[in-house]
Amino acid sequence: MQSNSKGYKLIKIGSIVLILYVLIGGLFLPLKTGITGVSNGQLKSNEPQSFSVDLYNPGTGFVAEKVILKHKNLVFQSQENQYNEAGYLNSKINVVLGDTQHSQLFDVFVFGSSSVSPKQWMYFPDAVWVEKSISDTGVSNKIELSNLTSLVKQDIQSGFPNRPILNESIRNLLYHVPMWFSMMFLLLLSVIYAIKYLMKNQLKDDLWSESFIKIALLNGILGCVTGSSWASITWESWWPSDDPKLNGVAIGMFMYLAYLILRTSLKDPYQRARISSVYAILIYPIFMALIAIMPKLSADTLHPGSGGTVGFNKYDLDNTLRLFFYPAVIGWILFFIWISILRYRFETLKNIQIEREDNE
Amino acid sequence: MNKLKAIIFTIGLSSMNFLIAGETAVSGTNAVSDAATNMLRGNAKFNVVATVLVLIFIGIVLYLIRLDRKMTKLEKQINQK
Repeated sequence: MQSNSKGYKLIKIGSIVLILYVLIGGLFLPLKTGITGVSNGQLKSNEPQSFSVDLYNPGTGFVAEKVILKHKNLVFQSQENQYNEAGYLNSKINVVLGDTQHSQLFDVFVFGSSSVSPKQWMYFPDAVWVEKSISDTGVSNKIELSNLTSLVKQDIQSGFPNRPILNESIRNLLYHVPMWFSMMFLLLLSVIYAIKYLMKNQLKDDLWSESFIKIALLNGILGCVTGSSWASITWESWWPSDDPKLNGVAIGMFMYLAYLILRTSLKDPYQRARISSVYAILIYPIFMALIAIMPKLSADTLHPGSGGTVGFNKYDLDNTLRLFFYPAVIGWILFFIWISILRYRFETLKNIQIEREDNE
Repeated sequence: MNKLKAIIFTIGLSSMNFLIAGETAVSGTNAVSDAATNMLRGNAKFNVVATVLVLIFIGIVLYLIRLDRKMTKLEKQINQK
């Protein structure tokens, strides 16, 4: 690609504009109100008990209208709610489990109004443990499940979704995830150029392939480092070693490091181009299998997409996130393509210089 | 030689994760990683977003500096002739 061509300019300017949009929007748009934790969440059934919910940025003048505990069909509404400006909401509730139920973990729902939004609701799963008392047949604050489902639909607050465990770190979706998308895309481009080399025998296609793989590796390292720091707070480990996706990507990156070593070990440019092109085509399906198919087959990956995941499924990726996620993916991909082009231009110059030295 | 250095650097960087994983697995909780995760958890976990952005920036800048050095070297070679 020529350095003054239209496509090149489009990639440069497009990537910068998109990334700026994602940086500004992704950092300045507020997070929705949410629950960051529950204290004193150990209750006894059949008597009024208090617990405290920790709210995140509910806005000034927050008034809690309803606090609801839910376990499957069992739904209870609190009698009294008191909110103090430090962010704690104290609730009193009487839960009666009945004869058929055992001690259970309950999800917490909070409904309220404030300056931020007249109708807001928050949710925290498995937050309250209710211990079954010996006599458990009194009068309780039980309500029908349909009351809750009708309330949950009314959400008019704007901003990024506030998910349990993730909280503000949900913004990393715009910075960590596109690294991997970009890596996969650049590797796909490298395969296309490797095929092109094998068909046409032009050394420049091999250089393209090499440049894309090098930048893809940079992407992989960035993805690992950023993912590692994100995992340290959400999954409580810098490298959750039982996640097949992490180990798969580590093996995949070593395969591509082997590609670079293979290139340095061959001196004849045509031989090097042919062997490394074949190698690049062969390992791409293996790489994709390691990072995309193996985690899907495994039952317990932490990453979204399969098993009981913490993060995002197709319902979780809401419209506000989508507004930034797709531009983020496109922007980062274009940005790393731009760096690949820089790398390619450098490699071409180097090759010209080597040829010149050989001729003398 | 330069390439070899780069490869060793990359392997070192990517194996760091295994080292950290091994460390925490052996000693359970250690003070250094506890302090680090507490820092990351600040402001309802916003600090980890800042950290991620800084890491991406550092990664790209380090790569560009490396490319810059290589280019300077190449320029010198070309100008010698």
